[in-house]
Amino acid sequence: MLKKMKKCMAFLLILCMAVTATACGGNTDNSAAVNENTASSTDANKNTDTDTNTGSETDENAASGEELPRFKILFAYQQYEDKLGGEFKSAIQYLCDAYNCEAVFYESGSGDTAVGNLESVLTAGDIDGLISVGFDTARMEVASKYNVPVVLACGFPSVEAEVSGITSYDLFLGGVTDSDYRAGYRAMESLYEAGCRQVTYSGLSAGFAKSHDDRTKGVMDFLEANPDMILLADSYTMGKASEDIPTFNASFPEIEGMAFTSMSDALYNAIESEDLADGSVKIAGVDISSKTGEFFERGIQVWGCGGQYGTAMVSWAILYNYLIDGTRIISDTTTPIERDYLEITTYEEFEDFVKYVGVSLPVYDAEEIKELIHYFNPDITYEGYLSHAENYTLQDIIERHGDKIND
Amino acid sequence: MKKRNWKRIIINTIISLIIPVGMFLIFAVLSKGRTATVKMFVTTFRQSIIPIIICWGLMLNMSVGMMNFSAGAMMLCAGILGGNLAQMTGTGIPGVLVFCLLVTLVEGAITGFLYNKMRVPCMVLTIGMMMIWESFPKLIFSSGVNLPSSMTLLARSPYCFILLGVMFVVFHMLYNKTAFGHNLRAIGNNQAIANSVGLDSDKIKFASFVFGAIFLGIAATLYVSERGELRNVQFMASMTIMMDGFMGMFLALFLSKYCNMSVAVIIGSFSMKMLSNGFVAIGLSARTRDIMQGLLLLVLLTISANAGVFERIKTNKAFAKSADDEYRKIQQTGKSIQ
Amino acid sequence: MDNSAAITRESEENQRIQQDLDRKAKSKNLLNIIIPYIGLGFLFVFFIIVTQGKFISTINIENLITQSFSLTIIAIGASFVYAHGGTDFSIGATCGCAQLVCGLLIVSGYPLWIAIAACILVTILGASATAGIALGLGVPVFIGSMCVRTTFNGILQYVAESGEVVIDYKQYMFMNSTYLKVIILVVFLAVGYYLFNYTVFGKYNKAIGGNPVTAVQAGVKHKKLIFAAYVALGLCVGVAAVFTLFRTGKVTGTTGSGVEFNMMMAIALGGFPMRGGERSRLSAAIVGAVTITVLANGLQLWGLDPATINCVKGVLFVLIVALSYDRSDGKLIS
Repeated sequence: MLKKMKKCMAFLLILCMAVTATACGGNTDNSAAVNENTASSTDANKNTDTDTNTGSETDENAASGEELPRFKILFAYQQYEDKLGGEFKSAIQYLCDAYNCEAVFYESGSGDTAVGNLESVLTAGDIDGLISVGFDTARMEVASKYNVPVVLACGFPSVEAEVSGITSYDLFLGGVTDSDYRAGYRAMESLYEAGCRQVTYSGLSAGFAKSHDDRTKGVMDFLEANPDMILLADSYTMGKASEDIPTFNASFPEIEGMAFTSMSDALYNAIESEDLADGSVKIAGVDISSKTGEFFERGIQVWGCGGQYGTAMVSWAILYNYLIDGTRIISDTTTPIERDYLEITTYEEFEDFVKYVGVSLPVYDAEEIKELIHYFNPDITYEGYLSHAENYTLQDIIERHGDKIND
Repeated sequence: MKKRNWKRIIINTIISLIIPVGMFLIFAVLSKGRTATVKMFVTTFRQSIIPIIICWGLMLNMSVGMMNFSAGAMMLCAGILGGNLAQMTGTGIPGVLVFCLLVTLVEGAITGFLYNKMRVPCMVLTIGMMMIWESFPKLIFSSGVNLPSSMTLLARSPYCFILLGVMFVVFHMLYNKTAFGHNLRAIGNNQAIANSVGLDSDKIKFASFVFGAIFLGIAATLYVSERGELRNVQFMASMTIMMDGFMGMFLALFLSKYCNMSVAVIIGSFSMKMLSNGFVAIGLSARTRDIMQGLLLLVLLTISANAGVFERIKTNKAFAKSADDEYRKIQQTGKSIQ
Repeated sequence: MDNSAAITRESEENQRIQQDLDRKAKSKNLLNIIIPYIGLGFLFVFFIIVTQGKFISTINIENLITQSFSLTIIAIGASFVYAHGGTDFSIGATCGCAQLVCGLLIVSGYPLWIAIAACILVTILGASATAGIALGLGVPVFIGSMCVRTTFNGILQYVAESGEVVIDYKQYMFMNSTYLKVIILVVFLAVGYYLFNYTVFGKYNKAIGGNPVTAVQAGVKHKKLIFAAYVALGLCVGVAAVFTLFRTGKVTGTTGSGVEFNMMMAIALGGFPMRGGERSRLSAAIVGAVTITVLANGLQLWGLDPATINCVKGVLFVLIVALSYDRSDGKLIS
């Protein structure tokens, strides 16, 4: 018995040591989740990275001349390992650094876990505002209980019950979303314009991410409107789209075009492996990765889009407006501000995209964001945000940042 | 010299091939010939290489009744670490292979060691290990791995087929021709008796984890080469990586009654992939494919579990009849039972 | 006389040896029982310290109750299944499907009680199917549950493809009341405890887990009892599904995923023997469910980044199971 007790104590002590060692790296103030400045990809993706530190070093400090109050802003997203997650993290961190705020990132989870995670994170304390990609009434109730205002980014509920539920809360400030439906529609339209009439489509499992569901809807609506374009096959999996390519290729030798709800290097590799990279099949899809340029150059890819993190930056601005002086930009919170993706149709546009959208400076620098903040720009209105959204194009970014980014 | 029962061999071969041939014919008809092409066959076979190798690795554990849920996480961890280490050291494709193997070997050894020390069911242990292997690469390489095209050749023809051939020989020899394989099957049949005759089941189970890890390492190399990139996952999402191999394993267990395990795995995994591709070719959704796969497994395993049930019923009936006859005889002659 | 003296001596020695063995077995048993509680207590104290008291703030205690509610209710039902050595991988899929049915009925305007009844019926149906397949067709219960899992998942995702099912969250806020959940939890705990320890239902399930052949020989109607255990699990999953739906307010294609693994982890963490038997304790499953919730809540509250949280959870899970798992002598582990 004594021997066993000693053994137990030893195990418990090891446990204490292990957990304490973790605590040294996991203390709330020094948490890797807070004020992290990691790049989103490896060196292979350098050209499409947002290099986080450079932005805040080279810009003028938006707080110069006066001390801004310090807010703790929570950003919620599914995961930060993918390219988009890395871009979100970089962009939000950049803005928080520029405006004397503290950024906290957490992975939201789904279903019951999502509600529980939010409860725990908000209990940890002192969160002044929340920006979330994906949300629901249950989490809005939690945020309301903790008196935390919420802005949505890159997605907005479409089910009426959900919209009326979320928007019934006073602390819901509205949302800014990407036009995923239009992205799906444009992907198919581009293939159509490239002469493709027999196409396949690979998407994410339905119900997992609303943005992907909306893209799929856009794809299907285009097909319905253009009956001479035939959908040979479609497949919806959890990240296994690259496995569909060989199957489609073997089953349907007459394929002329392939559309994807999300592009990645795995897809490009699969296309090359299947000897489809000779231009016989055209491709189109959302998201830019390291091989996108090569495929545009070879004339295989006809359309791509990206730049979603800019939307998150606008959501940040809406939240900051409320925090700093109580300004509510969106009065009718049932309607989100919709922004188009940055579209690419040529290799030259891809080069511009890499240069101006994914490198040293985010699509909006700290000074440009000031225009969206009532505290600095009392003339800003909801209409101003709408026209700001309309102006979100690659050309606009080049015009604004052309002299700030060196070749 | 032992006489081969050629009749039995032919029957077993036919039974083994009924499922893949039957599926081929059914889908050939339903897809109006789309699946009945050489290209489809080669594509399906190539797509089933990774599940086959995973299945071989899992089978070494399954032979002794151990279900390894962490196989997918082990592969993911190995792919990310191996790919990054290969790029850091500039060792190219050989580096990817060697580092992936090294990582899975370490993982397998740790899992085997913990299994022997902790004495908890493999299912429970490997769920915990799954969480650890999923999170570990994230702490070192938070953005996963991206391999340049030059380092992804192993996943392409003919290299993937060569690797498959090599691993087939390795598994076949290991499982059928070595003492380890014999001992593994002995323990799987009856561990108590195996222990009584002097087999060290701890050592053999540890070895099954390590040898299984070799197959998972090769599978990880092919997986990262095929995709060219791997991202960290969480919340047990790594199970999808091993799911194809996992499902093929049950079919292989059924087929192993009729053919060698090494071949049964190939037939099982290939059949599951053919099923999946066939459904895509005829336009069925992924949901329907999953349901059909589940039902197919259920049908096959029901047949397997109830093989000989009619003979048993017949024997029981005959036994009951003879007992009744005996009892009647006793009653008629008036003899009492002492 | 010498012989009788020798026999007496032997008897006394045997008695001494027997007493010694009994004492050792008792202390081992006690250790197996208290270690999960020590682990839980340690976690409590640890998180109180590192979160500077936030862990035991009123609001977090309330959070802990609501976060652990579903898993605890399921653990009560699962105890009966795991007591006879069974398992069920279809819990998550049936939970998701049940929430779908409940949500659709509510959205279509049916009374709440009908929606709740339908929800519970779906989970009972799923559990019964698992048991029926295993008992009727003679396949391992793992296969039966995987088959049910793929079927129910398929149905859930097929319906979810056309859009999320969203209920009016505010209208049913009362279903999220902590007091209501505490009352239901207490009732389930009391009934579960009674059934598990003081009725033939619980005792015979443990007997089947201990030695199925002996149990059958002793007259236990094992098929009926196994089936009933799965029905009990289905009932508990149904109740958990109801409250999960009202907690989240919607049903998507991924609703319910991972519940079966959380359940298995809870069972293992609490020291519940996976093969069942006489050492199965309802309290073990409950402690396991609470421990998982405390871990998830505490680590998040502490402020660790997600990668570290998952790694720490995995390490702690492996460590606690190593300490608390029941390794009865002579049992073969697989």
